Amino acid sequence: MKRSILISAMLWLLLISASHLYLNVGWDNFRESVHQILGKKRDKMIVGFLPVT
Amino acid sequence: MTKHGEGDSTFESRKFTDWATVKEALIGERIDAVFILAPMAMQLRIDGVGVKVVYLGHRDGTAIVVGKDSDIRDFADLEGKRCAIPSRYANQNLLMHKMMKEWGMAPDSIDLIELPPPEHPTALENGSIDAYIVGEPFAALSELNGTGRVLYQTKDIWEDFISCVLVVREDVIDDDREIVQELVDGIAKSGKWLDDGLQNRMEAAEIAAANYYFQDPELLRYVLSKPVDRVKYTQLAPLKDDFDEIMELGYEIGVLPKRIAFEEYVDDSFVKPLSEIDWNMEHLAGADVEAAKLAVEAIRKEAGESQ
Repeated sequence: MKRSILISAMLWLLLISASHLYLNVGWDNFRESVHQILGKKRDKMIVGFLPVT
Repeated sequence: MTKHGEGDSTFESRKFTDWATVKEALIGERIDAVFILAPMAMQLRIDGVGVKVVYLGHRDGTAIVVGKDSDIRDFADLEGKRCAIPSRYANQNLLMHKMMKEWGMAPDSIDLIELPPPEHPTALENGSIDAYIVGEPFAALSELNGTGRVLYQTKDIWEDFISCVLVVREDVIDDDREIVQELVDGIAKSGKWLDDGLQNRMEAAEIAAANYYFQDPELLRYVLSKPVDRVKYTQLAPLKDDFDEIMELGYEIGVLPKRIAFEEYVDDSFVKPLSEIDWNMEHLAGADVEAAKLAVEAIRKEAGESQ
């Protein structure tokens, strides 16, 4: 019983964390942050454009 | 998304429709760089956003367009008329004020109206405006439709006119100079390739039409060839004299609240002579031209089927 509660809680935590990363942080930003923490070279740039001219 | 360069770097393009969202995206670090109007970049810096101009997008490529049968023959004829501009932060707005000054006209002698560029040709056609000043391809569109006539190309009234500039977040510049350099080198090389010959421009029209702007390839071919120096993609280094002139004009007409020094908002350390750029041009020049042509055909076919 205790074990199933623990597993459910962990799965719930995992799901909530993944949803937060996806909705509020974004996979790309998360990946970039991990890269920066690990000291890896940036390999992607997002370049915006505003077609107003 | 565009993946290019000799390394594994990826440059993803993201379209924005308004200025406020661009600013938020830069502050929120959701984008690393952006092509925006030169006075907008200055305003961002004045507002305390940590960004720097590192390169230009192009030179020239803007025109003042009037109705095909209009009696407007020179700039003085625009007095008392309604003329659309893309934004008050557009260099096109500054150019109109510069011209009014040069022609001895009062600053309010032309009724300047802010209008999104895609609406300029339609507004001219339905008579709600008498003229418009805009970047390509919207100037060429009226010409091609037979509803408009170019009064002036900017190359004839403000030599080497600057419209869009490449702005990069300062923290990206500080932390990842290599990838910024790769981007700037790529723009420089592709610009040189575009200015190298008409055939390259025609290929570029196909690629851009299919992958980026979803414009009619014929329109883009027209923009890139009639005349061939209508838009220039070389000499893209940000020069102090050019930017000082824009800053001064912007301040003078009240678009910018104060002047700031060139060094505060420009980082020209990424500019290198083309000969020093180590970048595989073939990778870009030949990139997906055939795939782009197929995509254009598919779009045409789809459009035909839906009619």
